[in-house]
Amino acid sequence: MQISFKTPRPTRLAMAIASVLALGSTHSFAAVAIVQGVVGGVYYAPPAFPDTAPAASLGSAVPSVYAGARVCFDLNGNGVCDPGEPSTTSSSTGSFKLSSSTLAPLVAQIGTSATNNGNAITSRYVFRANVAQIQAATKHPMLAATVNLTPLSTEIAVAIENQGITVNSAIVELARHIGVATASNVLLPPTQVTHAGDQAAIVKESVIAQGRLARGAVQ
Amino acid sequence: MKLLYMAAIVSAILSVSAAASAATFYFTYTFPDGQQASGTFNGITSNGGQSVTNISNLAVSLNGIPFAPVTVSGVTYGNATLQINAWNPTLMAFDDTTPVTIYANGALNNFAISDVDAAVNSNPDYEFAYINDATDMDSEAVAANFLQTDSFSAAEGNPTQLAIDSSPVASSWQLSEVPPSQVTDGPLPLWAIGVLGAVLLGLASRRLRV
Repeated sequence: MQISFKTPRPTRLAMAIASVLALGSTHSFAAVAIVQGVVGGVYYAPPAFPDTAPAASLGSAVPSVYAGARVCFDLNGNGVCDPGEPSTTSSSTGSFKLSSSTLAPLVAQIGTSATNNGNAITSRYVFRANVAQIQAATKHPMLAATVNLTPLSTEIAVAIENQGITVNSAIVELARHIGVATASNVLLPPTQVTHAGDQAAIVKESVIAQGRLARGAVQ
Repeated sequence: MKLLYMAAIVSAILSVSAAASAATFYFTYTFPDGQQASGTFNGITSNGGQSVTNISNLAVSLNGIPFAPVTVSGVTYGNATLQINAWNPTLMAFDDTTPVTIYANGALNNFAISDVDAAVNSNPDYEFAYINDATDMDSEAVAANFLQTDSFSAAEGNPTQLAIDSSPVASSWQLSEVPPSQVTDGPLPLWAIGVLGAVLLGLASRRLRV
């Protein structure tokens, strides 16, 4: 595959960013990025232990999608979606599509305006994907790369950044660590994993990861 | 005798043009979210428009907004002339050596129309790519105008126009020949220029003899 680089497209947004926020320059070199994906995770209901035994219930965790999440290219790499950064909102199915004249990490901000499988959000989350993950998913810059934003995509991004390993190594290592047979399944939103054993392992890990990624309970 | 000779040439040219006729074609691609890429081009077909080659004079719109340059603060972005490149599954890249064929059967299409030569530049200002490459990747249709916004992009909060179909079905694509009476402008096809030239030469030679 041949990927060429040139001065970025000076979209109105890019020009606004350059002139107002100085986050980009129309004279720098950058790659085009077109992405699509799903903001996914798990809907976790903790077990209830009331005073009366009949009212007790087991906890549950099911694959889920996040609607209304803000997805952006994090141009300045601060881990949040700032004004002026290319952003969109995930649909009722959790899907999103977005383009940028500058390749940057993807961030999904899941706040109080989002829902998890139609349920209100009880904790804020930020899911991420590293630039290397976007590049690995890109068949050609003029075509859309599929990059899902999930608790596991965030774990892969963290492994790449903290351990300095490649995308493939991070994927394989995560799959091995949590017991997923088909490594590429860790890239999917849990709702799209068809292998029952892999889905169970991904849901279990997602519950743990979401717990780590929670940015404080919604008041 | 010369007149007969000239008539034979004109007849031969006309018969060739009937077998492979030049025409203007109109296409649409409707994305799952209702967005639509549409456009026209000139080309040559020998099978009633099932496949069209020698593509030229391309024009494309996304949701009614043409792929055209935009001038902001005195600086113009985008190229007025659109180009078409074939997708090369072997190279997993767009190619400027493989002749492009546009098919009425959408499942056969593998091309990108943009304002750049996609073989050497993957950073267009506007593009419509329609890929059916089961060998390397899932099929995909993408239309984007990175210089424009519309109601679809506004509803999604997207910074610019963007339509993606990651599971394109052939029925999303329509290709039809524009009836000659509806073709408003554009250059004369080469074969028509040839016929006209031959007729004029014939008339001129007749005048000289008289």
